[in-house]
Order: sequence, then structure tokens, then C-alpha cells
Amino acid sequence: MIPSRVALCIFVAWVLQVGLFAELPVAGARADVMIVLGIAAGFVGGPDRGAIVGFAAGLAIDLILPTPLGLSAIVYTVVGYLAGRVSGTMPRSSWWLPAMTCAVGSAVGVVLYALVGVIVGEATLSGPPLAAIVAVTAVVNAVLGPAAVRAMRWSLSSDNPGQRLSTR
Amino acid sequence: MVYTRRSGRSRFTLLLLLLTAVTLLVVDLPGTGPLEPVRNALGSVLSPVREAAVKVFDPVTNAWHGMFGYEDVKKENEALRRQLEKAQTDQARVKQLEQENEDLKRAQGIKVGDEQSVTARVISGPVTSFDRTVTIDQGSGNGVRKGNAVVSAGGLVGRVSRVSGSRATVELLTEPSFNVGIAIPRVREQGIAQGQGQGRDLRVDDGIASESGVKKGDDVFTSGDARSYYPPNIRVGKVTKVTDTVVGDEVTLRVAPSADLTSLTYVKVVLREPT
Repeated sequence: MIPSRVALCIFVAWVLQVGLFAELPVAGARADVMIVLGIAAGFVGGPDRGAIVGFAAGLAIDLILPTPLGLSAIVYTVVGYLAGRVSGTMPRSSWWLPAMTCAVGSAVGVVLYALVGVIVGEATLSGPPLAAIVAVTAVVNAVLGPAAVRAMRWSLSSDNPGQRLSTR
Repeated sequence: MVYTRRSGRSRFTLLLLLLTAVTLLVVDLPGTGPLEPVRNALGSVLSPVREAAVKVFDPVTNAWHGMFGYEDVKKENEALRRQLEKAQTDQARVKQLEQENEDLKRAQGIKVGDEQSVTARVISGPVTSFDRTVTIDQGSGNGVRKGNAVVSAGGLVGRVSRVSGSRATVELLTEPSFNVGIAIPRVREQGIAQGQGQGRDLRVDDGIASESGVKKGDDVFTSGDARSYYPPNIRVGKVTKVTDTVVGDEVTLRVAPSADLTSLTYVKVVLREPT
């Protein structure tokens, strides 16, 4: 993993989130593109990398949210880890797999965020319908997924070539 | 064997990261706040970056909205809405002043001084679907404090939930964690209104007697307790529903906010310190 490249990817996603996707609500729901980084890292580099990148991306977005610091980090870490675990068992040749993984992972992440938010006393279910948030985030991240996977492959390219990275 | 070792390491990494995140979460839970200064400092650094990002993507977002002819309609709608809000506020204010006038005749000598306030521009809205705050361009450097009331031309908007040197985050009054003391001048009743979530009316559970005669359409203002950040007589909204409670002699009210929370541009922060 090359930390500076990961940081650059997180910064670009952060700028896209606050500058673009935050301003384009669909049915009141805004896409969450930060979550896709951990999923893509998990897909490319396995559960370890997925969790680490997810944690860093979560903290980056937590800094500007009114929710307690660490809420997004918890969710993104778990989702990145799970993406690494699950995608390791899948056939690697399918062209649609990155998009599918990012869409499903994002949907799981949104639901998990809402649940963890409720547990820590945040009003995560008082906004737009959860189904709308899940749908918007999943669709947008399915589109961005292949690009995120490429970006993560570039960011993690110094990893041990014997590990999963070389098989993608 | 190798797989097991890697799998064990992954779990260890996961646990370590989760432990760190949970620690941060607990330390930063509302009310504890030792991380508040750190977050505020980072917020000050990131705010200009965020504003720049919004500006950079402005053409794209405008194009998106323009595809639906949104921009022109939005401007026209905004102007009409402002006129309507002003007319409604004026009308409600006249009613309230009449009531106040009567009260003042009875209790002469009571003076209501104007509260100090600062005008702020709303510089950005929510970042994610789970975020329902707005950011304004005034912070602690301009006297803004956590808890200060935020008001638009239409009425009460919310309260300041986080402050940095030149920025503040505003929690909207529709949030479930928001509550404010209210008064209904026509029937001289007071209660506490609580947010019920985005797009939903506020709810008043306590304090309004069923024989008070409160009815749909009554204007609701802040009660302005001396211990509160909210000054009195700020318009909160209109009663939309009156429901009898199962037990007791009180009614439950629904109050539609009078401020348009979907298109905030300029607001005023009331710099009131509770006594």
C-alpha cells in the first residue's frame, strides 16, 4: 500500500462528495461515494486493506459531519473488511463484478450506518426514506465502482505481489 | 496454514480499527466533547476546501438542475416564497402585537429590548443523506456560540450545534434532538415543541390545556424563557393539528415550521446568553 496514493484517492472522493454529490439530491437522498473506497480496496487487496482504507475514508468524512467522530469509520471499516472477505470467494474474471460488489457493499453500508446511528442515539432514520438512500448510493457507486477499483489497484500496487492484488 | 495466518491478521486489523473507531465515537458522543476543539480546528481548515469544491462543481450542479428548468423556477419561487413568508409573518406579527398591546396596557413598564444578532450566509447544506445540518459563514470570531438561535425571514430555523472560528453548523428545528419553548399568544398557552424529522411537523406534547381553545391555524412563537438561548416572540410556525390525549387534560399539537428550510440563503444568529 502506498499511503500517499491512498490519501490522494480519499481526498478526491472527499471533494467529489462535498462539492458534487452533496449538491445533487435525488428524492432527498444524496449518494455516499466515500464508502466505495473501502469496498474497492477490499475487492483489490483483501479484508486487511479494505478495513484500513475504509477506516481512513470514514474518518475523513466524519470530520465534517455533525455525527460523532468514528461513526462512519466503524461502518466503512466493517464494509471494507466484508468486501474483502466476500470478494475473495468470487470468480475474478467477470467484468461486472467490481460494479456489483460496490453496489451491494454500498447498500449494506448505508443500512449498517442507519442502524449503528440509531444505536448511538443519532436520528439517522428521520430524513429521506432509507430505501431511497440505499438505491441512490448503490446506483451511483455501481457506476463509480470500476474507477474506484482501478484507483485502489494503483494505490495498493506496492503490496506483496504474491497476495491477492496480482490475481486481479 | 498461510490462509489461517492471513485470516487471523485480518481479524486483528479489523478489531484494532474498530476499537479505535469506537473509542473515538464514545469520546466524541454529544455532551462529552473533549474532541470538540480538535474537530473545530479541522473544520476551520476544511471549510474553505469544501467551499472551493462546491464552487468548482457549480457548473455541473447547475447543469443538473437546469436540465429540469430548475434554476429559473427556483429563483422565481424563492422570490414569491419570500414575499409570502413576509406577508404571513407580518400578519401573524400584527395579531401578536395586538395581543401584546393589550398585555402591555395591563402591565406597563415591561420592556422588551432587541436582542443582538449577526447576519450569516448559508454556505453549504447537508453532505450526506444522514446529515441534515447547514453551515453558515459566521463563527466564534463573530460572537456566535453553541446553542444560539438561528432565524430566517420566515421564522425560527434552528440552533447552532458546532462553532469554529469563522463557521458554524446549524441543526434544523425539525431534528428530533431539537426542542424549544413555545407560546401561543392567542390562547396564552406555553409548551415545548420538539422536532420529528425532516419534512415533518414539530410536536408539542406537554403544557397545552385542552380547555385552552387552541385550534388549527394558531400562530406559534418562541416563549423566550430567560434561561433559554431563544428570545421571545420569534415565529416558529402554525398549528396544523390538535389531538386530544388519551389521559389527562392536555392536547397534543402539530406545528408546521414557518421558515422555509429547503432554500435558506441568509439567516440571523441571535447572540443571546441565557441568564
